[in-house]
Order: sequence, then C-alpha cells, then structure tokens
Amino acid sequence: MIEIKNLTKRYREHVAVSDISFSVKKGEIVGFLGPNGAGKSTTMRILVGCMPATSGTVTVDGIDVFDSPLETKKKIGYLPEIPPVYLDMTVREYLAFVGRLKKAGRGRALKAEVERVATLAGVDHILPRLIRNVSKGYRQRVGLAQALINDPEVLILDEPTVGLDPIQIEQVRKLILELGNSGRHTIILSTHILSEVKATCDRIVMIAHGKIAADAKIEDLEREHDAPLEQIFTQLAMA
Amino acid sequence: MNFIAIARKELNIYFSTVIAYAGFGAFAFLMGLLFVGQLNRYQLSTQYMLSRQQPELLERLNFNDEIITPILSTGIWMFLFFVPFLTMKLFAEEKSNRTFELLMSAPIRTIDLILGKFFAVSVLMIVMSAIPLIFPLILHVYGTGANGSGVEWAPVWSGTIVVFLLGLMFCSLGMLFSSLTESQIVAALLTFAALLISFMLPILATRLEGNWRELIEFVAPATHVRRGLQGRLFLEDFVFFATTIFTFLFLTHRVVESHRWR
Repeated sequence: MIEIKNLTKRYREHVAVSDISFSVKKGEIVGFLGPNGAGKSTTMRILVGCMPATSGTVTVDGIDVFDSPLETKKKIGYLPEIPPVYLDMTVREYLAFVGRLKKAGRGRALKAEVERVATLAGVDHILPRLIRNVSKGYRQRVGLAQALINDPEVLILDEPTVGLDPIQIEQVRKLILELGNSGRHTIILSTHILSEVKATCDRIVMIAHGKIAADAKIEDLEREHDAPLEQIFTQLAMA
Repeated sequence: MNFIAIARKELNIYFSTVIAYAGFGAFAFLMGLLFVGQLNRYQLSTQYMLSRQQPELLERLNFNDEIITPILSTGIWMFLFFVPFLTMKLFAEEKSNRTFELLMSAPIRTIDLILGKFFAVSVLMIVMSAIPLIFPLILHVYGTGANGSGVEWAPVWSGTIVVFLLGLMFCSLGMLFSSLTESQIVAALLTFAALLISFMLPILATRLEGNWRELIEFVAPATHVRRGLQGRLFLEDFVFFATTIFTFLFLTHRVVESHRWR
C-alpha cells in the first residue's frame, strides 16, 4: 500500500532523513518509532504531500506522491503532530469544512459524515462548542476525527495520543485497533511511547538519526535481541 | 469548485470573530466623521456665497464635488490601515497555527486555496466600499443642494467601483505579504509600508520630469482612482487594476506553491 524508497530530506546542511526505505502492506498497523528529532514527522509530512523529498520516491497504492498529489491525498487521512484546528470555529463547523475540502458530500450526507467521525473519535457531544474552549485532549481528538473523514484507506497519525488522559488514550488505542483490524485501513502511527506500540502495532519501523534502525515484528525483534522492546529502543537510539 | 469551501471557512471566521465587525465599525465611524466635517464646510461655504450675493459661485456648490468625492478620496487613505488589518491573517495565521498542514495535505489545488481566500476578502471589500454609500443616500433623502439640485448618482457609482477595485488590489498585495511570513504583525507592517509607498508615488512624480514622471504616475494607484471618483470610467484603469491584482495573486501562488518543493 505504501512504498518508501531511498527517501532523503535535507534542510540546507542538516540531513533530517537519510536514504530510508520501507513498505507497509494493506491492512497493517505500523508503529513508527524513534527518539525526538529522529525524522519521524519529516517522513510523515513527505508521505502526505505536505513537503517534498530531496530525493527518493514515495508511492501510495501504486501512485507517486509527487507526480499525482491530488490522487494520493484523497486516500490519506492525516493527523499532524499539532492538531490542525481553527480555534474560532465550532467542532461541527470545523469538521464540515474538512469534509468539504475532502469532498465528503454536502447537505445531509456531509452532516451524517461529520457525525460519524465525531462519534468514532468521541467528540460527538462537543459538536456545538468552540474549539478554543475545549481541552487539549479534545482538540487532539477533533484532529483525529478530521483524519477519519471519508474513511480513507491510509491513516497517518503523528503521535495520536499526546495530551490525552489515560482513559482517552485507552479509547484512542481501541479505535486504532478497530480500524486496523477491519482490514480496510493501513495505519502508520508515530510515537515514542513504547507501550502504545506494543498495544496496537503489528510491526515497528524504528528510525534513529535519520536512518532506519530496525524494521520487524515486535516479537521477532525481542527474540532476536533477547531483550524487551524498551532496552532495544535505548540501544538502537544511542547507537 | 473547491475554492468555495475555503471562502466559506474564511468568511465564517471573519464574521464569527470580532475582525469583520471591528473593521467595518471603525471604518464606518471614521467615514461618518469625514462626512460630518465635509457637511459643515459645505454649509459654511453656502452661507458665505449667499452673503456675497454671487449666484454663479453658488451654482458650483453641488453635493458630488463638495461632499461625496472628497469623502471618498480621503476615505481611501483609510485602506492603509484597514486592508493590512483584514489580510494579515490569511496565510500567516494558518502557518503559525499549523493549520497550513491541513490545507497542504488536503486534496485541493493551490489555486483553489488562493482564490478562496481572495474571494472571502473580496466580500469584505464589497461591504467596505458599500459603507460610504450611506452618505449620498442621506443627502438624497434629506438634502437639497445650494443650487437646488440633489445628488447625481452616476459619479457615486463609478467612484464606488474604483474604490472597490483599489481595495481588491490592496487586498491581493496584503495576501502576498501574508503568504511570505508566519507572523501576522510582520505581514501587516509590510503591507502597510507598501501601501504607504504607493500612496506617496504621486508626490514623487511631481519632482520628476518626462518619461519618469509619466511612468511613476501610471503605476500610482491614485491616478487610476481619480477619474473614477470624478465620474469617468476608463478601460485603462480597469486594465491597471486587473493586471496588478492578477500579478499579486500569481506571486502569492508561487510563494504558496514553493512550500511544496522547498
């Protein structure tokens, strides 16, 4: 579903991502791991077409992200690191706006779609409230609801549980698992919370200093290194 | 038709926050002050002419030349403050709030994004340029000129049209500056400086001669509003506004698009 080949991103002299390659199969939930500043967000932003790569190719469902960005963007729901919400809109207005951008119908169809994603993300009871007045945890979930509009095949979630309380974290993880297990969605989620990866992901891709440090199933990795994930993470990140 | 979604969102925010109302309110208030001042002057000159017993001078005192045109030509100076105020947020705020990422990752073209935002400020500009119409209306309903005539509407319409076009052109410039920075203050300041320079051009022109003078006069926006305010619409003026608006929108497009390959 997602193919990243020899991807490099340079900001002037600074190399954020250096020659990384990995692929994600349809229906897989992949945890994108790495310490802060390792290049996770950069990779995800390139993947969704927010930012170009210095070199390398990225394809989604066989379509090149740089050649046909409009095509690939339709297939992707993206939750950036900071939820991209307009503080002066109500939750309902905001979700309807994103729905219009993504052509999720109009009138009653749009309203139904807004209510569907709001229920999924657990923000259906705050629809009439101004985003400015809701807590960080809710803003995060409004961001998640936005990513779910139009039921995209691919979900790119950049630290989806940041700022949530333990109960909300549990709810969001459950939602991610449900979406993943339905088999229709391919999910990449970035995080540096290792328990989250264990709870939700089939596989991890670990990135450190802009390079791939590991790409394997969690059990395989633990067996190979004969150590728990936490220890492996520290080893690879320090290496 | 994606630009409509963007335009709706912009207008929604303009009108659900205080921005639009503060802008319109302050503009209407200041224009009202101008109107009252001009009206007083008009009364004084009428009394003066009457006391001098010079009916041929009285003949020249009509509402259009003495009240409406002066209000509009002073009023466009206010765009210097109001346009930066309205346009500074357009792109700068999206970038500082990180909502720009949403727009960049959404399946819309850059052109839709820009046209949507421009369409939204155009609606604001329609309201802004319609606000001064209240004054000729008041004169029309309640007043009779010194020479017995009322308001002549043709120059009012043509004046309103050129004021609107000038406002649109300033907005497209404001949007360009907003796309260049992440800070609304910087965007507003740059727009203000650029508009101030454009207002200063006619003064510069008076110090020059020959071709230079003609060139500077031609690029000065004031030149292209003057005739409209007097009631004469020239194709040349329309072409001037259309070209400058197109240029600024095109440059904004390049700036926004550059985020996709930078």
